[in-house]
Amino acid sequence: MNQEEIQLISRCQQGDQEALKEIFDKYHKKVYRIAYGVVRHREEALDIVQEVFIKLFRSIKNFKGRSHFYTYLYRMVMNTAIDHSRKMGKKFVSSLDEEGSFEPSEEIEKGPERILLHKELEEKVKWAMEKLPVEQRAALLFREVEGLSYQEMADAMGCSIGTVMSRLHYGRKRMQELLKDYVGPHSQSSGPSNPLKGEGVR
Amino acid sequence: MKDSCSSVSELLEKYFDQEVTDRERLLVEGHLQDCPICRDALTSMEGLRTLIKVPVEEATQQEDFPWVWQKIERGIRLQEKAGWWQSLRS
Repeated sequence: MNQEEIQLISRCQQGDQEALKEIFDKYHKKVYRIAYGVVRHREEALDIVQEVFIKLFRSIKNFKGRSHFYTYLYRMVMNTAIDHSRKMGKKFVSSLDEEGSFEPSEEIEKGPERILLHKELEEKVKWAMEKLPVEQRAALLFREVEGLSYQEMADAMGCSIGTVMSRLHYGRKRMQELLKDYVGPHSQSSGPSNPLKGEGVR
Repeated sequence: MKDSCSSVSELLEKYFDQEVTDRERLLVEGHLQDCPICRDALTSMEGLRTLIKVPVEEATQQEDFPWVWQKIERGIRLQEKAGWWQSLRS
């Protein structure tokens, strides 16, 4: 942690709400991305963001600075999102059935059909993510969305690097099985028709 | 899978995650030049990363976060009020 962040956290620990606002400005998108990645539901993800920052303001006194602040925050987000999902029960189950009755559309380049394919693909990814144990889902989100290193992931998840690698490996393997039509080198997603490619998001 | 794949299979995922040492990187890159199977495996991992990441990024871009901050401020005020009333009662 740099000096600026140490001071910011120290101010927040003393109850300075302006300091919390600065932390919010710096981290809210990261918090949202993890929350949305777990629940895959926009309004619920926003509720989790709200809950996390209120909880953080109350509990930041307990942060002793032994780890990076963002791994402390990531752990809080993940725990809150998991609790939230459990409370909501089956509400987030995808509309697609257990066997994956999803039928990919024919090759589509542009227009409303492309938007539809995009939505269908999103649904398929959501369905596949929900099939994973939450620890594997967390590992994939931390790595693929946030780009955390193995060490940072281990800190955020409170486990060893070996466990992180194992969760990533089995999570990827399962996702590749579930999304085999979209992630292989000869799949729809590798061609120019992939609606999730070439839109300036990396 | 070729015999030589087994020697780098464990490293391939670490290579994709940029967690290999310089020596391991050279080993994997040397193997990749001659192995279309492992190149395909890398392409699959890249495809999966895109599928996981892009919808999350797109959802994030659409949100109204200033409004969320207002709700957080309100939530903190409510908690402080509740705490104040509780302290009066006890």
